[in-house]
Amino acid sequence: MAKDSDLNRRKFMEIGIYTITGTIAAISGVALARFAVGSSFDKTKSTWVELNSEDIQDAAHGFARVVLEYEQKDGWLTATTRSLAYVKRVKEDEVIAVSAACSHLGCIVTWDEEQKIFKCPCHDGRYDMEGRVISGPPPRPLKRHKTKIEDGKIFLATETVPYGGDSHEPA
Amino acid sequence: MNLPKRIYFWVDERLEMHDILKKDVLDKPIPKGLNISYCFGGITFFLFVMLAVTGYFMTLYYVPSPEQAYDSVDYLTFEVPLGYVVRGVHHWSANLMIVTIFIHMIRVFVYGAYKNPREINWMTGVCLFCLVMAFGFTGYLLPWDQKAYWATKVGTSIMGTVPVVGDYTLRLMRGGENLGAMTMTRFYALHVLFLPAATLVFLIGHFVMIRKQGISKPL
Repeated sequence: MAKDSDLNRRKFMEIGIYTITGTIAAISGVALARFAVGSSFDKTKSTWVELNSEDIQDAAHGFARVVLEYEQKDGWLTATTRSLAYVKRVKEDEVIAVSAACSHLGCIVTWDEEQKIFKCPCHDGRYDMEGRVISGPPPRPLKRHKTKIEDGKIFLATETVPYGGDSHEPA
Repeated sequence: MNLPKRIYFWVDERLEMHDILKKDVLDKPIPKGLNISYCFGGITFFLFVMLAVTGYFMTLYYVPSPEQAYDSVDYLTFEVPLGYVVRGVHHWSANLMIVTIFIHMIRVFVYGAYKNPREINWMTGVCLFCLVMAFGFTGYLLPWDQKAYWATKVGTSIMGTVPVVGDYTLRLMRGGENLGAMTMTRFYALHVLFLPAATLVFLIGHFVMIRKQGISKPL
């Protein structure tokens, strides 16, 4: 009988130790995992960048190459971020802005004025002037920057949206 | 038989670790009449583990440069979710560790546990104590705030006052004449790479010896 209770006490202590240790480890693990994830899934804030409207060409003249330069929060730093867009005026009050980032792996595509296509230098992806894939590895059309015109001034959103079909309006 | 147990036995069939683990580590008999003061070595080790874990995770954000150290510490503390907890645990574990290692040392001294045959273990313990001090000194600089800067300035200047070798020591510590980027990177390297490696070596020695020799009987 005495031996039996001795054994139970030993077992009780063992379970107690493992329970306490396990609880500490589990709580720490969850907390540290959240800490490690940090802001990985935060959405980057979109801002409007004003363009020089004289640089923007009419539809007849093809695309103007526009470098968007804006300040973006990068953790504890504020970094100057650059992205490239091809912009043209399709109507008096409407512009389209095709993102130059290839939908394959993000290389910068160039506008070929003669052939009227976008070409990617990395894996020879080709897009038509709407940004739709003609050939090569790109899985999707080129994205579009949102645009707006206020008092004759042209603004581009830093955020890009998927191309939404034949219309000039991004989806 | 459930799966974890089967995996355990599968491994043990090949490595034959069960008896060593059970008899010499987890179920090692200890003398009767131990009191709470015998716990402080273990508590110190627990704090060391907490420091290691929180430290590892803070390196995900920390940058050891005069331009970015303060801002990255500010960011990981206040903008990263639970950052104040992770850094807080590191801060308080570091402070408490000095207290617990002292209590552990005093207990071993007062109980005469350092005597034959455990002198070598006492020596490794003293080395570990010095390593903990070095951890504290190098870690203090890393947030690069006023306290960090001036504490390190004063600390390294004190080393500079030692006769003959003082100036050499000061320059080696600072990585040059002045306190700056060179000091930060070497303190950081010491704090997160060199000192942990050294500590691990001494800790293994400390633990193997105490398991081999057993803890000394209470007075």
